[in-house]
Amino acid sequence: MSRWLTLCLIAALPCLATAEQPQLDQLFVDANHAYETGDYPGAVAIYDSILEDDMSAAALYNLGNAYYQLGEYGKAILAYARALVLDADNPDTLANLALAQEAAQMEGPERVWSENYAQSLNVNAWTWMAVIGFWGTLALILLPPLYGWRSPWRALLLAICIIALGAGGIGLYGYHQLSKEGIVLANDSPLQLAPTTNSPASTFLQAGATADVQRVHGGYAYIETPGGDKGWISLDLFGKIWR
Amino acid sequence: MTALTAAGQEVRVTSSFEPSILQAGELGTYRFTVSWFFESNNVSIQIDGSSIDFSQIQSAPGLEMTYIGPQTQMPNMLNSMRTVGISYQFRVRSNQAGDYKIPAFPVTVKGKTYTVPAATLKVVEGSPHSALQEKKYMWLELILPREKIFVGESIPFQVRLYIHTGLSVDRVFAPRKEGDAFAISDFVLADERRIERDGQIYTEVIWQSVITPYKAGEYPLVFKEDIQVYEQAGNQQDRFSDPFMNFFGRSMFRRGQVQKVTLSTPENARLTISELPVEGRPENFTGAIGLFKVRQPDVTPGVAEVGEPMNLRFIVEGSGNFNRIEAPELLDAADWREYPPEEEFMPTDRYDYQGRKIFDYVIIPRSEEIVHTPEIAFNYFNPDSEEYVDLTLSSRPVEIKPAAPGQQRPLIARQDNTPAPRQAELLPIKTSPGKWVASMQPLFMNPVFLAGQAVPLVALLALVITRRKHNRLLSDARYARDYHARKALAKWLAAARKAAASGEHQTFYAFAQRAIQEAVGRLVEQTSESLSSEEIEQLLLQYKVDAQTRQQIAGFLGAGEALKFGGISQDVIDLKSEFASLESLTANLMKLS
Repeated sequence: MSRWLTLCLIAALPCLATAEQPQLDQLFVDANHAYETGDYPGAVAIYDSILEDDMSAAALYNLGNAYYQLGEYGKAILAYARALVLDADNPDTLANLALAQEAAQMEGPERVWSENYAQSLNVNAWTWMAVIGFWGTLALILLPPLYGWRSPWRALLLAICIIALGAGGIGLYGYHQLSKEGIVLANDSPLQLAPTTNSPASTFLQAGATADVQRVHGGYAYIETPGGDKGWISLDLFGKIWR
Repeated sequence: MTALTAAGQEVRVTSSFEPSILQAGELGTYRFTVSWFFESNNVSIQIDGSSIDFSQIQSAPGLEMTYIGPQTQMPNMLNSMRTVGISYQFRVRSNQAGDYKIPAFPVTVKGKTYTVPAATLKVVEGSPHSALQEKKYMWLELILPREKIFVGESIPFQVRLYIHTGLSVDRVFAPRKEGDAFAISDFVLADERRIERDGQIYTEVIWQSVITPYKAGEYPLVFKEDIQVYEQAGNQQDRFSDPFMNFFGRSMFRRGQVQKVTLSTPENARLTISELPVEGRPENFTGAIGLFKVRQPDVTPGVAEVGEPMNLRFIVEGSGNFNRIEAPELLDAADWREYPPEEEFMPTDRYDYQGRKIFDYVIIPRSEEIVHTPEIAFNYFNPDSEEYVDLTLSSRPVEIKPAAPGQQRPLIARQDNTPAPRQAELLPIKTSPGKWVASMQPLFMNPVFLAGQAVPLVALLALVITRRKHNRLLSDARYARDYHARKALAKWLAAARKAAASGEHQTFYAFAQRAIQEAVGRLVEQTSESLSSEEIEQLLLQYKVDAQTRQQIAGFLGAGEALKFGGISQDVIDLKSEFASLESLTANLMKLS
């Protein structure tokens, strides 16, 4: 009996998920309406409430626009960067991100080639590519001798799978590097020597600046800026792109 | 005595009484000093006191003067000049009040004549006990230059401590502030001297500092000073006839006593702090309060390309709240990218009240059409005239050339005045939410996805294992015979168990015979069911099977015919134990190799 109940619940899960979507869509419309009427704080509040449990590249993009309109460029940059995680290479997001960086007087971070390469596709695309490449390579190495396949297609397929594995692996490595990245949210954010409120600041960071998170302790993240400055910053003043 | 012989020196002569005020009958010192100043350190200094002739010194009438002798001063550095000197000292005393002036007189130093300036000593009468009782022995005064003070203004002030010379006190320290509406900088000991008030002599200690009120309103400002007062020496007490009796209403000292006295500026004194006037306040008021002047700004380089940083520097000088002056706004700077300026303050006093502040702006031209720098909107509030003063600095001419191809923006962050968003350039919001996902967690971190990788793994392993078995069955005859024999043996044993269970003796032994044939037949390349009893016996001998086993096998093989032709009765046969023997037997036969 209980087995049947469990099976019924599992079967019903997709239905529950789909039942929630119209509600999200309605909130999205409400947030857009607030934005269109110039109520940017209201729009931010609704977008934030939507994005607490669910993600959408469009909602993140719109949230970035709302923050931009409020002049909070650090938060706008963070929202656009998160939108690009879900929808890499989206031209609108890229354009508005560049605009927010211009407004914040910040250049985009200098990236190594693997990071630039990784951004050319979605991380899940790289994942599928790497996984298919891996199993294909393994199968094409193990099975042909057993089945006596001597077709030239085998070598070609093996080469393609190895390339897919390498390409996907590098893409995932690039994303691994990118996943440490975060954005400073407010101007004059102190980079502190210790993760405490009273710790002295070694320097101050500006909104929109990027930094890599090394570790997190309580409400603070230990970060390293592209300039080599290291220290603790309150997570109220810093947002990780991947969350 | 030593003589001074050096070329290029400058000679200065000074004179003074120490202290400058005495009570009648009190001893003091008069000294005049001859000092030599040298620009070079590499000189040989020898001072011969006897070579100085001061025979023309004249004492003042009524002033006793006794020559003590010369005193050589230690070499010293003053304003990058090396100094050395010699002082001629006299003990002085007068029993009558009045001013005693030793007139200027000439001294001859190595043949050259210099004039010793006049010096005046003031002598006052020692006041009678009753007169002194009515006066204070010690008190503290607060001296403010103005009564009206503005919020944020820095204003110098003094706290003065007066101690009657008849008192012996321990070392005094800077007073402490009471009142939380003000910030004060550290006290600096400005002066310590003797003064005369109402015929009494006091030591006056002056501390200076700068006060800055935090908030508007009426607030008390009190300073307090703790002083350790010692008992006087016997002769002093005699001279004043115990002036400390009934001090503060009781006998202040007994021999050997020390008393702590806390002095205070008037406790009921309250200062009125005013807000800066709203009227006339510039929109871009810098917060400067005081008296300031500015120098015209410098821009370097005067010629630059679009996007190339230029430095705009200007200097504010004067006195006031330098630490509260905000960087002045640059006017009409739309064609420039501007960054918060570097600020440097260079005080010329010990209170950071006077000095000059340098502002270094980095400005980057956005257009080659620019011909001058932005104006700098400096202004301040003059607390004396209570008016705002506008000192906006005019722009400087510059020449801006087009940017070189490929030039990049400088990676400098601005700290304030972020430009207004360019509405027209921001792409509009999305009207469709697109695909909702539960999180930004990548697929490779999803447990379901990771567990799903077991599917291709299992499939691949299954393909490999089955194919390897298939290939071995084709290539290894012995393995194939064993494989098939096991399968056939299992089938015949199952049938035999069934026959045994149903009590079908003939059928049981027929299946037992087939099982034995399969178990033995796998040892030869021959169809197992065609093996005769003799051939089985030969094979068992070949594989050195013991006689008991062979006999047991022969029993199973012959049992069918024996039953059929009446050799044995099926009543005496227990098929269950026979099946158990068969299982054991075939298991042993399968081990033969």
